[in-house]
Amino acid sequence: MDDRQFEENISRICKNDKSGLRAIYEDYNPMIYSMVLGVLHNREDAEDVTSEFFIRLWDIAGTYRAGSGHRAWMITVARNMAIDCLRKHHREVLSAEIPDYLQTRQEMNEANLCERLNLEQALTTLKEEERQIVNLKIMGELTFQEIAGILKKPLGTVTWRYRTAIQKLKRCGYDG
Amino acid sequence: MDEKRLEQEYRRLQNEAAPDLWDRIEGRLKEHPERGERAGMETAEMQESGRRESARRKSARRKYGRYGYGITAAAAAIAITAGLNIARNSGNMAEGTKQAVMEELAPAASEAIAAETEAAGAHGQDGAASVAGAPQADTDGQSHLAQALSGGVVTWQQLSVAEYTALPVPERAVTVPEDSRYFSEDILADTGLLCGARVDGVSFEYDSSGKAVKVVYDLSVDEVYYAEDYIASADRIQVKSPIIQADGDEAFLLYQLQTGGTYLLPLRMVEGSWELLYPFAPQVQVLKEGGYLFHTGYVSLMDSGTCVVIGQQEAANDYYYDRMLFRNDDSFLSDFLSLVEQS
Repeated sequence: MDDRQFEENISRICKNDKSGLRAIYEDYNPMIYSMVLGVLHNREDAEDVTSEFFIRLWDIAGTYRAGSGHRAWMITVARNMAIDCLRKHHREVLSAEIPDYLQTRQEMNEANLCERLNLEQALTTLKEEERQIVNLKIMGELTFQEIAGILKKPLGTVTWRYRTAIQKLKRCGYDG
Repeated sequence: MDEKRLEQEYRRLQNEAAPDLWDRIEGRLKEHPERGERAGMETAEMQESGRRESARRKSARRKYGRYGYGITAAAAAIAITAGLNIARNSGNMAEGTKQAVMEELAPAASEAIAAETEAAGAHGQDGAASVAGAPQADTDGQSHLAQALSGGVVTWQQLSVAEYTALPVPERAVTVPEDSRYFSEDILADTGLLCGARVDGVSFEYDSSGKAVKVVYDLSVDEVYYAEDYIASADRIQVKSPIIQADGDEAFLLYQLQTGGTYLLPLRMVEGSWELLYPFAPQVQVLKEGGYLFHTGYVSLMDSGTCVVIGQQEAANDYYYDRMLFRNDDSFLSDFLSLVEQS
C-alpha cells in the first residue's frame, strides 16, 4: 500500500467506513504484530496490543497528516503502545537483555546450532536489538534513518546491527 | 545466499505467524457520529495536502509542452542565480537555510532541463544549442531572462564527463545500502589526506571465503593539498571503499570513481589502508576543461558562480542525480581547503 492508497483508506475511516480500516489491517497486521511481539515476547499480549492498535487507529485516523510516511507513523504509535503495555505489567525488558526463550539457544554452541537451521530457528540466534532492526527493515520497509529515529539509536549503529544480523543468518546456512 | 530471498522468506514467515484479529477488532470499534461534515472537510484538506506533496515529489520528472519551456527554464535559472547570490551575500546564512535553498532550486532546474531536453529533441540540437535557439521572448525582460539561463544551468552533456560505467557487483559480495549514512561537511574533520588524483584502475578486494568486500582504486596522486602523513605527489596509492549497492532493476554499484577520471579526494586511514571519506556520495570530480563537479551537500562551497548540473539517474537509489553543481573558478580549491582545515 503506498501513501496515496493509505490516505484514501484514512479518508474512508474518517467517514466511519470500516472498509478503510479493514484494508489497512489486511496489509499491515503482520507488520504490526511482528513488531509488537518483538517488544513484548508474549503472544497473548502481542495479540491484545495489536488489536488495540487498530482500534486506536480507527479513533485517531483524523490526526494523520498526509506525506509524513505512514509506515513509520503506524510503527511509532504501535511501538509506544507495546512499551506502555510492558510498563503497565511491570515486565519491562531491557533492549539489550536476551529473553528467556532465546537464552537456551544463545548458550548453545553456535557452530553446532548453525549447521542447518530453518529461518525461524536461525532468527533465534539474533540478539534482541538485531531482531527488532531486521523486523523494522524488512516488515516495516523503513529506511535506516527512520529506524534510527524510532529506536533512538545512532544511524551507524542501526546499519551495523542490521548487516551483522544478516551475516549471522547467512552463517547459519539458511538458504531460503 | 540471496538476501532478497531471505527477505521474502522472512515476510512469508511473519505473515503466517500473524493471527487473524479482525473479529475482535471490528466488534470494539466505536461509532464516531461527530465525523460528519467536519470530517469531510478535514479529509478533503488532507487529500489536497497529500496531492500537493505528491506533486512536489514528482515535479523533477515532469515534462513541459514546447511552448512553455522558454519562460519556465529562464525563470528557473533566474531563481537559481538569485538564490546563489543570496547564499553568497549572506555570509552568516545558516547552513540549513542554504541547503533548503538548493533543495528547492534543484527541482526547478530539473524542470528547466526537462524542457531543454524536449526542445533539443524537437530541434535536433544539443542542450546548449536548444537554449540559444529557444523561441525569442516578446519583451526585453523575457529576453533578458533567457540570456541568464546559460549562466545558471549546465546539462550533463555540456561537461566533459565520461559516460558512467560501473563494475558489475560480484554475486558473492558484502554490500552496504546507499542510505546507510548521510553526507555532512562535518565528516571532513576525519580527513587524513586531501589529494588530487587520477584513477588508473578499479577492482574488488575479496576475503578468504571468496566474497568481494571492498572496491579498490589504483590512483596516481597529482597533488597533495593536505596530509597527516608524508605523501608525495606522483606517488601511486590504493584507496578502498565499501561496496555501495543500489537495488534498481538489477544490482548496481553506486558512485564508483571512473577510470581515467581525476578527482579531489578527502581520504582517511582505516587499518593501514586509505579509504574514501564519503563512499556514500559522489566524489568531487576535476573536469578536463577545468572546473569542479560536486554535489549540494557541500553547502559551504556554493557561490554566485555555481551552476546547477542535471544528469541522468544512474539507479533507483541514486539520490544525487539532480543535486550536482559545477564551479569553474580559481577560488574553489582554496575554499575546499579552508573547509577541510576548519572542520
